[in-house]
Amino acid sequence: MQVTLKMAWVLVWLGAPGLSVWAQGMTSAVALPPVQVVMAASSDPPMKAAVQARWDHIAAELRCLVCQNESLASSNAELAMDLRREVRSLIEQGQSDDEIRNFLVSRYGDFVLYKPEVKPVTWLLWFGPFVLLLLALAGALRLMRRPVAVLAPLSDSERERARQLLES
Amino acid sequence: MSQSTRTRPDVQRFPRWVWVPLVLFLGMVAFLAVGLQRNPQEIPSPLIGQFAPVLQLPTLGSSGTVRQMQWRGQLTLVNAWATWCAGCREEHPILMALSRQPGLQMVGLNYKELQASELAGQDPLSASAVQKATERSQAWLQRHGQAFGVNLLDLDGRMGMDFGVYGLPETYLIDRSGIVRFKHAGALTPDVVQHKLLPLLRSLP
Repeated sequence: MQVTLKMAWVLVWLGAPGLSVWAQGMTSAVALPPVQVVMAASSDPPMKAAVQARWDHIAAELRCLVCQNESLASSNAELAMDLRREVRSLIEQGQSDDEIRNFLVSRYGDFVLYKPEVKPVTWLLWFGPFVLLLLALAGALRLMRRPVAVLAPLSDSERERARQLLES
Repeated sequence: MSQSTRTRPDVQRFPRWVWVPLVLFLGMVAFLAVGLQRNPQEIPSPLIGQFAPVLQLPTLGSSGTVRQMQWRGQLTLVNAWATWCAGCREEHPILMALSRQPGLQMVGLNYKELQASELAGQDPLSASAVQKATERSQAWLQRHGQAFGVNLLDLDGRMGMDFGVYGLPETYLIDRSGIVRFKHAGALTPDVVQHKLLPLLRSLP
């Protein structure tokens, strides 16, 4: 009982913050966009279906630099509008997703991507939470392996005092 | 009561792991203390250490001529600004002082002088837009000081995009071989000039 509690403690302390950050990153990259892409489409002239499909695919993982918690697709900042136009024309020119991403990353850095590429600079970002989790598990295992301290039995005088306390 | 607990050795001693949450908490505090001090608007520029994009834009005052800027051979300070930008007015005295530095070429990049609300659908590169922007920027420079040897008109913001401009003002230092060595987003402050820009100017060959 005591050991499980300890383990839960350590897990909460070590694992949860890291995991939640990671999960946040993943969901913002994956879950947010559908609604917002519609908004973007309504503020700019309509796109051809093929372009629209590519746009939906790529715009959601691009981040607005001015208002940093919005995607490029949803932001109304002027720079975001310019960049949307630019991305659109790159799509229309038939550039691949990678080429478009490179266009933006070479100018604004990894920051524009909600889901940055996995490379040495971003290792900490991608794997940090898992390292923390492993450390937490290792710590928990160590604690579990240790024998539970056996409480010394109460002496007669203590037992008597406890009885008095309970009865008073 | 306290007396009787003290006599029991297994209760008296705290287990060794008891400090773990405290250390973790302090670690988090340290993380937050550092993280909250940092300015989220400061995005590291991928341009540092790369060749600067070649500026090719109409220069202000020479009626629509496009000049190919050649970076090589001179230290160049590129400052992205506009008359509607409050930070630009704030930092202008500093740019004026920098313009008196010997051997430093000052280039103004007038970024999107006319904003979308003003253009109201009009082409930012149309003749009337160019004229309006030119008049306004020149008047502003006359009032606040001619800090720039060359001033380029980037009405559609395309050049700014190549430099990775995401807000005004922004300042770039380009060395003699054409490589970007420094970027500052936001108004220049005496502190930034004193502790970053000037030492860098002195250290560059």
